[in-house]
Amino acid sequence: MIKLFLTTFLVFGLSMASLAEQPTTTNSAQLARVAEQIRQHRIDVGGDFSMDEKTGRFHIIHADKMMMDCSNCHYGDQYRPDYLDVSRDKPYPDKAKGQYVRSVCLGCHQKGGLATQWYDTGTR
Amino acid sequence: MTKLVRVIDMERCMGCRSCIAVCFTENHITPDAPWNVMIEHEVGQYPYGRTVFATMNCMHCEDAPCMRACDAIGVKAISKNEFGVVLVDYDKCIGCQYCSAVCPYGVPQYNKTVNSLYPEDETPYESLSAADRHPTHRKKANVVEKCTFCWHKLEKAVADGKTDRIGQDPQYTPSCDLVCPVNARLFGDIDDPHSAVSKYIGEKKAGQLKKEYGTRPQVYYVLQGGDF
Repeated sequence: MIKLFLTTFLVFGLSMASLAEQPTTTNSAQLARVAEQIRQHRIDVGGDFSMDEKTGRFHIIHADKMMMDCSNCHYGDQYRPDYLDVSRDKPYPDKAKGQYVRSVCLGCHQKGGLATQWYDTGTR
Repeated sequence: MTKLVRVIDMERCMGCRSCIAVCFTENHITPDAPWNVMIEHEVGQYPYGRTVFATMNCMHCEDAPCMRACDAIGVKAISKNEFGVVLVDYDKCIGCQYCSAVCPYGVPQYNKTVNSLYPEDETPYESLSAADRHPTHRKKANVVEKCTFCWHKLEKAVADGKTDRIGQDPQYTPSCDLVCPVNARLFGDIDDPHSAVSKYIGEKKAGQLKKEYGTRPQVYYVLQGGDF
């Protein structure tokens, strides 16, 4: 009985571990392919452009398809002491999971990044 | 070619917020969507600490990420005109706030509701009908707004054929640049090497903020206390 329990526990544990590893094994080439498929409308990310709701395109693309964790962008439910931005003067949004660091966007959205380029496009 | 830029001298700014107050009245600002905001922060340690004041308005980037994002989703509500002024068309804006998300300076402000700046009723100034307002002042809920470099004034200079007077004549100059009591703000054509802004940028070595984003802003700062 104990052997059966331990075997079941081991199998369950291993399967959970393999599931947890899935995002980390995804390399940037795979993500780049997903990004390209999104741009070509071959992956449906919906037509809701809302930023507030998790059902909006923005969060579907970043959280669901590109598998970014919330904490990649959002931090805490308060502004950092050194947070200097225009938006700091606005009341803190009730639903928001926390302010995001804009420099995170640079990683993918600048020249040579895998996402659509917003920054440093080099156009004159 | 005219490329309009602003210079803000943080060494001179004393944080009086005159530029912000005049922007609120000039541009019919609502509480949800300020176009000009003062950021203040402390640098140094006691007894050498001091406060640094920086007014933030739209940078009117040459390579504006807000416009790129808006175009990418097919809304095309943001445009940049021949004078380098980035404008939002409220009739096209769908309020998705993608522009706010991509702007490194946090400039575009979402106007959730059009409220009065005062706790009581609207002032006569605020209750002007949409028809009596410039298109950039026709407030709508659920759209994004931002500084226009007082385009309603610049547009007048263009119509009057007096673009050379921009930055010199009060009726053709953004209001925030007119009211500064310590002359910490200048506005004009950077393509004219003899303009006051060109000389000031050169003499004071004014620079742009967050250059790592490669957006090439058209607002220059004489920095005090480093980039922010």
